[in-house]
Amino acid sequence: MTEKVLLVDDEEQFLETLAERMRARGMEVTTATSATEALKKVAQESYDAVILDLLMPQIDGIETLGILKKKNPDIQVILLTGHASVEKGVEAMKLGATDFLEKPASVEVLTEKIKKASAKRMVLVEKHTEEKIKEILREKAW
Amino acid sequence: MNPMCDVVCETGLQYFGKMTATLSHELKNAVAIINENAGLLEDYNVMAQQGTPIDPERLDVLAKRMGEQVTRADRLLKGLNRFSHCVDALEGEVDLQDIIEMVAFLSHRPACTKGVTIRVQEASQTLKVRTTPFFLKNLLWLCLESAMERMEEKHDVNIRAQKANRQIQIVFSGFSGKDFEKEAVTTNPRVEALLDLLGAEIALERNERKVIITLPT
Repeated sequence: MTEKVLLVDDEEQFLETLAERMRARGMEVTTATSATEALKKVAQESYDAVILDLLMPQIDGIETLGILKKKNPDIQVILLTGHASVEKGVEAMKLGATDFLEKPASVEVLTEKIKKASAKRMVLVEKHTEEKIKEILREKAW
Repeated sequence: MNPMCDVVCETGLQYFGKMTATLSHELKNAVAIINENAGLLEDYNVMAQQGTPIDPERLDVLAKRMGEQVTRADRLLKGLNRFSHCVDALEGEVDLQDIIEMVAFLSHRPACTKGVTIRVQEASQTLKVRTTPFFLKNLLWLCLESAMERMEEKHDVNIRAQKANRQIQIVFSGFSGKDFEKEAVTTNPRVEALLDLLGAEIALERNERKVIITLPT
């Protein structure tokens, strides 16, 4: 299965290189250099996972995470940051982050976390589909 | 302990912590880019072993990127080192241009996150003062921080040292934001404590949207 990933970081060189490495591992990667651009992309398309930098200009990662989760509680967000602190990690997890990784991270570890996030999303999507089918069956009472 | 001293110590520690955290974050970003480029080189190597030819131009790009990031990391480390040493001697004669440039360098990342660009303007002459360099930097940062909290997005702030009417001053200009008048930096108690320690004065030129710090001569 090809995981569809949105990679968000204001460091362009980091984005380009990591995206190339993730594509080489069979993922479909879209990049955004700001939270504003990322929010636009998420509104247009669905992703199996969003990899989000914590410290970005204007709207930071935590705020972006909050907006993303409010709009879509099932969205899988992994925070990847050079500014790791226990407080920020706890805050991110409370807001619903799937995982929290510190830079520099191993691409293999990140890939594994993306696969887990994608699987979790699949389970949630299936659960919602099942609930919808049950609701339709109840309403129609066939 | 003197309450004013408590405020100054706390403010100074917070400033030192904030700036070292900021620089180490930037360093991590540089290291992360080097790490990804090294990883990409490994990926190319694996691909080459499997028979995919490597494009020499791609290797050149990776080498240049790594070189750029090493230069960036080196610049950050030098800055961090200079900043750490600024508390070696608590008092001394300093060139204000050096102080302003250091403050701009240290504040670069926090300013960027607020969409603010700090521009240092060259003083028309060398201006030296006897002061506590660490707390002067702390004061300049607090002025910037307070103003940036209220600024409109994507704005430039200019800083320069000047001699006006025999007084040595540091001038911030370009501040924006509708709360500039009522929420002035001049009323910040931490700024007041540092002004007191340095024997400096602060003034706000509302019409020209300037903050002027006058240092004792």
